[in-house]
Amino acid sequence: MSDESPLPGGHPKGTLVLIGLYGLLFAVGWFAFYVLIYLRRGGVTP
Amino acid sequence: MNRGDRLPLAHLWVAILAFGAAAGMALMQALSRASLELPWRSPKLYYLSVTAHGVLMAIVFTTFFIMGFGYVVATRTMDRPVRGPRLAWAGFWLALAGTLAAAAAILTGRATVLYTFYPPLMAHPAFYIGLALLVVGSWCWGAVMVWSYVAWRREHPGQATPLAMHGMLATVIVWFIATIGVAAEVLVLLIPWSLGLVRTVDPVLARTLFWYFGHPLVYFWLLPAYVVWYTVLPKVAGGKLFSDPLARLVFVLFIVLSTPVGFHHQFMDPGVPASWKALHAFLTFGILFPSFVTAFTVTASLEVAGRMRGGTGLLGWLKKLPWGDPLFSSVALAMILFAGGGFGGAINASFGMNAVVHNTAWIQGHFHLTVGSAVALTFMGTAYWLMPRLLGRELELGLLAKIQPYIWFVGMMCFSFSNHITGLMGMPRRIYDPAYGGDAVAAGWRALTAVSAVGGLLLFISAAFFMMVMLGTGLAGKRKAAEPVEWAEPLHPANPRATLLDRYGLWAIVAVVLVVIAYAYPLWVHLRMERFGSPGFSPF
Amino acid sequence: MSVPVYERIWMRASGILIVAFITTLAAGLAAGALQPPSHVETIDPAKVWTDPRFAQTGVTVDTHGATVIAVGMMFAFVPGEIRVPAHKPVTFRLTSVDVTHGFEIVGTNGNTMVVPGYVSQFTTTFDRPGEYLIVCNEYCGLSHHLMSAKLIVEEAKP
Repeated sequence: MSDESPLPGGHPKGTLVLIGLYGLLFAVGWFAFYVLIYLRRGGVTP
Repeated sequence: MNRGDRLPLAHLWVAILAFGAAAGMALMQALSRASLELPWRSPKLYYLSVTAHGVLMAIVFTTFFIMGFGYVVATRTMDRPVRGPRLAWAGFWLALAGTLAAAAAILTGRATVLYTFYPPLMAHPAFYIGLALLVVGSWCWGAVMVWSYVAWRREHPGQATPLAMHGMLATVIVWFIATIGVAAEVLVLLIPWSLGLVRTVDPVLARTLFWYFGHPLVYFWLLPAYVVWYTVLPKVAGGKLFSDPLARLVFVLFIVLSTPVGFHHQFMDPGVPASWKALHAFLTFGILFPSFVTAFTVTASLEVAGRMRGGTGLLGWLKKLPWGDPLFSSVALAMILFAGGGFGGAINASFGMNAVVHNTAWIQGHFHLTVGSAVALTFMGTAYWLMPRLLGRELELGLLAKIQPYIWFVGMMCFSFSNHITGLMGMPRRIYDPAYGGDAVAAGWRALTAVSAVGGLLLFISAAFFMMVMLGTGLAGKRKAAEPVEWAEPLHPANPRATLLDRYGLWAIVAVVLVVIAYAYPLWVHLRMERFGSPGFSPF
Repeated sequence: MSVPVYERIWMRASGILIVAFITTLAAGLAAGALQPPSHVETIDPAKVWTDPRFAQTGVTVDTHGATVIAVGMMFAFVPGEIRVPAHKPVTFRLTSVDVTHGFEIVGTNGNTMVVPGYVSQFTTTFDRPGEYLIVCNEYCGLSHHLMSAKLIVEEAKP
């Protein structure tokens, strides 16, 4: 692994912000779904 | 028109016509679920059209488009005609004959079993035989792709496979491994059963074989779309591919991880132990990784393009991108919709949590973002870019092509959002009418089914525009010298040498080993259990 | 392989996120409380009505909770109305006499396929008394959208 500076104007900082925000929403959304919808509706055992 | 392009063009035209027919059926379905009293509205016609829409979109449109696009990639990236053109044409005619046989069974009302055709719902044998022929035709395509690659490899020892071809080879390998499941289901279980040669069939075994095929089928659709995202989109956007080796890694991860995940479609099935469902759930989360990497690499490629076009600041480059180009806007909007589809997929794959969404309208909301947008919208954009180049004609009705992706986007937002929500509210998928005898809970779905119908109407208008552009271009486009099919350059010179990532045989073996780990033991235990088969039913 | 540094940050973060998801699900599995219905038991679909396990459909209540025996058929559930006590574990046992159906208690996590030849079983507790809609959520023929039932959750009598 090497630390190249990939863009003429530096790193793709806009991409990191956009995709980072998506990742954050993804994580928060998933755990919110798990706790607020799934667990609240009550567990099921086989 | 180049003579060699007749082969891909034949496939692409079948795909486009199948898409047009399927889009027409979809409109009626979306309106029916909003309880609109249309002329000829009947459960018989509704479920028949759901079957036809599913088969034509998910199997016929996708498979023919991918076969045609695959031939374009093979001939253009390796700069040689395909090996075995006669086998390729045999595959085309077999697949077409199979499509027509299945379509005849569906349209005459003898195969209203939906595109998942779960037994003991029993269709006319022509339906199963037709599907089998379609798969055999696609195997001919896979063989031609591999054969052409092997011939190129002999002449270019040690050279890295062109990236687009690398992605198509991954697609072919996933397809060969996946179709073993559906071939076993259809040839061993369903055809003898529908012909009356055996009396019963085990529904859980059939479901297991179907979903062994059904999930990698998703990657069979998605990988050619990723080929466009990685190797066409950056070029059209005026930039370069951000990272060539990561793109290669992503395709290899899909070869390895696509198949051992099928039980995540059977979380709610009896007869499958929870431990095996859990293993498949965890592997499914593994396959999130290559898509996360793709999101970054492709977005960064667009940032490269925007900055090369003079964009500045944190997000100023977005405005410099060619939003008026139909390939660009189709793919960019497909990616935005897929961001939502990816999130929904992670919910679906979450083991016990699947109970919240299983077989609700959420599911149709979900897969219209994935196959219905990430894949279908990308393929439409690809057609705008590719068909003029193959036909040697100008794109006709360019204004319709410019606005069509945006109409699709808005229509899909309406359709998908409302179906996700009604799904969470408990509305089942695949229902003719959601009234449930005036039940109060069901009445709460009503407003959103209307939003879904508006979305369906917009999607239909968008599909009609696409068809007009395609037919206009094919029949009346002004002839001109065909522009070359060009692929994106990587930002940093790619390694010209073949690496471990080009060892397709090795990765196919790794994939098969994982498949054996994930399926062999549970299948063996299942087959040894005392089981009772079911005779066929045709309640349609 | 040379990986640009920002992309490496993203790849690490997404790897951590995936591990977090898997860990959460594995914890539910290990606790034995958060699993999909995965009961393994077979039955002859032609003999459901005479099989001792399903000959008597309906609800049995004892001090621990309740057991519901129900059958899916084109295009109804038998029984069509199910009464169970609130706040006590209720075990559902279901099978089909014809094609594959779905059994979904709207607004709850009660959701299972009902497959001929197999017995579906799951246990859950209803904390909210009231009337629930049960729908078939797997296409089973031309009247699929009419296949439904009622679940009535009753507050235990003092």
